[in-house]
Amino acid sequence: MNELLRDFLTESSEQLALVGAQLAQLESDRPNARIVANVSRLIRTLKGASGILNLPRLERIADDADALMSRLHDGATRDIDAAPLLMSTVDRIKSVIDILAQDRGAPGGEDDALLAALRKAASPDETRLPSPFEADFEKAEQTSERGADTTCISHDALDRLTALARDLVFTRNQLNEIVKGAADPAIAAPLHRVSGILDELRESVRAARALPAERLFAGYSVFAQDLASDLGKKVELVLDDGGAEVDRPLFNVVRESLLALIQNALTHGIESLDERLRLGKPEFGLIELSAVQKAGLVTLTVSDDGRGFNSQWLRQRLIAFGSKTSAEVEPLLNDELCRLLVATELCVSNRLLEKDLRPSGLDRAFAAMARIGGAVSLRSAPGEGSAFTLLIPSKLAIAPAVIVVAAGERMAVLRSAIVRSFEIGQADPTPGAEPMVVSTIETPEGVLPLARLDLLATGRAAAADPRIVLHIAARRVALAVLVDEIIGFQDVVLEPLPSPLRNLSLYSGVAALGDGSAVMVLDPAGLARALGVSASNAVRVGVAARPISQRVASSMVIFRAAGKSPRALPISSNLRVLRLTEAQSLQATQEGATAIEGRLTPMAWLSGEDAPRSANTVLLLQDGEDHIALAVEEVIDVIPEALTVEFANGRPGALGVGGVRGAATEILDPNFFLDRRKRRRLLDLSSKRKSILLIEPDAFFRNMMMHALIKRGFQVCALSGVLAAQGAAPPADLLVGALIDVDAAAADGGAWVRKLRAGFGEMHAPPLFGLASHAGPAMRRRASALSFTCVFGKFDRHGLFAALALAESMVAPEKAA
Amino acid sequence: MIQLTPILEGEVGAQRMYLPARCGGQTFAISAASALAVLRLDNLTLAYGAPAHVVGVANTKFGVVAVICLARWLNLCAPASALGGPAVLMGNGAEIIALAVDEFADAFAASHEHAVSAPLQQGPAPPPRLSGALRLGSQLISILDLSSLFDSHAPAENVSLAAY
Repeated sequence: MNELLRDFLTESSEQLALVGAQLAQLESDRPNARIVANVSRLIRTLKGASGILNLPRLERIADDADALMSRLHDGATRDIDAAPLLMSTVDRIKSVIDILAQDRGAPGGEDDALLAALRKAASPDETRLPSPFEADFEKAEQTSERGADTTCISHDALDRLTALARDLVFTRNQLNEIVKGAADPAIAAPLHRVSGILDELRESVRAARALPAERLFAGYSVFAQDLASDLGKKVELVLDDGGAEVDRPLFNVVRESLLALIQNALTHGIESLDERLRLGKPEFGLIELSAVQKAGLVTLTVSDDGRGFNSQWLRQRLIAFGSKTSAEVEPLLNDELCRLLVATELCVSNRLLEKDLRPSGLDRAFAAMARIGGAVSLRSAPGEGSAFTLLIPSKLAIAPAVIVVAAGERMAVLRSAIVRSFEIGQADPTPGAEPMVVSTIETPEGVLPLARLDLLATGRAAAADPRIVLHIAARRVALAVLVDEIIGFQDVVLEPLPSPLRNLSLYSGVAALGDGSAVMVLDPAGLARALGVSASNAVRVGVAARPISQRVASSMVIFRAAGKSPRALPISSNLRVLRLTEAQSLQATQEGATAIEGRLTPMAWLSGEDAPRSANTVLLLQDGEDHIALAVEEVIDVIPEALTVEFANGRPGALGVGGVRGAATEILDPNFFLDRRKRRRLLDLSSKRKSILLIEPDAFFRNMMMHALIKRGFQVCALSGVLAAQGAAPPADLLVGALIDVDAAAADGGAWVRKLRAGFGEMHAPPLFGLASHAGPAMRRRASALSFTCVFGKFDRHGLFAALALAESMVAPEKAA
Repeated sequence: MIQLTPILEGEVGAQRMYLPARCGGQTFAISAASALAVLRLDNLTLAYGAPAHVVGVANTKFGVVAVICLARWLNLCAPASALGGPAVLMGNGAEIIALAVDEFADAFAASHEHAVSAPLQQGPAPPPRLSGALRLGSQLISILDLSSLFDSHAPAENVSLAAY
């Protein structure tokens, strides 16, 4: 490289860094003639020098950029419109100069897209400047659900609106705490209305702020391919937006940061083609860009399979910053060096920002993060690659959460992560208290690892063994935890973990509750990690361990019931053996049904109607939403082989008789009992007092509400939909009321609900309460059209119970009469 | 509910305001410039697995913040629980933490004349906890360097005035 070229490159690099910093100021909405003049001067210098030094590619770019600068200078185009295009141009010039400075010959690559954009922008009849990413943005725009009628509001106004919505959510939670348990409809009804309105406001604000990460990633593929082509490298960019949403006011800053990281990965991380082949790496370098949303944080990761950060380079960089001496950094390992580098880079970026300078290269990413209070971490393995992780705070996160108690500590689990909850009996095995043991439990979805949350998240055992199971699932992780109690639901404003707690993987964030206290929000993935369960070995556990029941293909459970002769039932995925508690057993014999795993389960006896009944052990049969418990005296054995039915015996419920160990054994048909359960489901209700009909398609809500209603002394008939209830006349005389999901009721156009109401007669019809996720005005109108008495939010238990208490008090005098 | 008390302005003329905090039998001066409010920790939520000096989180008007026990951070004799005790909310512009202490005294102003040299640091780690000291009459009060509290959360070696 001749001396003249070296001087040109050095000087140009310095000038470009300065211009880059100044270009950031063009993004403000004020015209700035001084900056335009400075940038013009540099572009013209580059244009002239590149011609003299025979750098045709640089000359082409500078030439077209110069035309645009002339328009800016003349005031024909606004600075703010031109800034993004100029920044892209400066970045491209920088990358070309970097290649030249490394003396790697004439840089290859295509600038067609950029040059076309510059020419279009400089054309006299162009009033709006195109962005190099415009095509991608337009594509992303089409996928978004934004309507055509839009208006612009400032970020400050949006922030203010968000803060007000958060304060309102918090205040509403406080009010709910104050009126908790109060049955006064004068308070409960308006509060319920406020709650509904707030839900809609919250959703509107969230929608106004949220931009899908898909849009954030738009244009990176083109950028990466262009730059890779310039650098003579081959690269594959894999994008995974993870369904995350980025806060609109942070959009540009985050985008700039990601762009800098991708550029860094391409320029410095991914090796040249020759080097990769020599190292035995794939020809195509891999850059992965992913987004994950977790509580109040969006985590963005840019990783590459390039050369990684060399320890020696990291040490030199730290020494060059002046933050550490050679003696201090020498003993440090790569991980520690990476951590120190990130901390130092963030400090340096802060200083640059304070001095109003625009950093360049990798520093741009750090400066962007410093500007928005984000965090950066770096993992790197020399020769294998590196990964930058950006933690972006989010103001979007208001989400429904379930508040649970473990060893006296309250914790929150996001409602979206809970599949179901149920209670297990005293006799059911649970993990021991000391040391912490991970056991397994069988659920309708399969066998899951089970742990006690008290030990997991407080380090101490609860006073009594926890019995409530939460089945938690999120992002390929499924597990079950035992909690002492579920104490309520709240819409919580999720906040990121404070920095001293960022390393705690057990939690995804923090939130404030209505009573003014703080609560830790549990992270399902963190729980799984703490249990040592990954998605892959969760599957293995599911196959290997079955503590409560056996489920072996082509097997039979041999049991004794109503007589000395053994009977057999084929074991399939819908059969489990359970031992009932004393309370469950008593309820089963007296009521003909008992609460098992949070659901009211009807009983079936093999004995005659008049024979004495007992239910200590049951075979729980399930078919989708239908379930029934078959009372047995004892389970004798499980035979891992299929039985052959030798002949039918004609008894209802029996497939026939087969030979088991030389003895004739009656083989029962599980479908018979399930079918009978279907037929009798509503009839069971007629024998109960204070009955509630609950129609709710969501298993979680159904179980939760049923559990709460049973606790309040109601007998509940729970169904998954109105179609399941068709053809059966509901009992009128003892029904306190019906709770019906509005969407489920609308499934048949409201015909079933009208029929139900008509069946009672106007004078005797119990109130029909609609249930909705968001009981806003629109939902209330819809419920009214379906003849509901009123509609409640599914989280509004207090309002619901107040209304039921009122309905009960109205029914009671009639019955007394 | 947590009660909040506004803090004095950080600087008065050429003098700097300090908030004296008593903890582990010693008195430390906290620069009022980064102190946002003094409060009583009427509720405290455990964050299991947190470093020993992070005693939990508390909800304040600035949001949910980490509560750091100053005595534990300085490896001094710490009370069994910070619940019910006083704390000061400190901010660095990007983040806010609550610093729990045994008690606060009245804020005072000090000038350069009161300052004595900063304590020597032994090696690169742990990060500095004290930025210097103030001589007020016959009393020597250490000035806490809380900047490292936001960067690093490892507990320090024992800290005492012997360093001076």
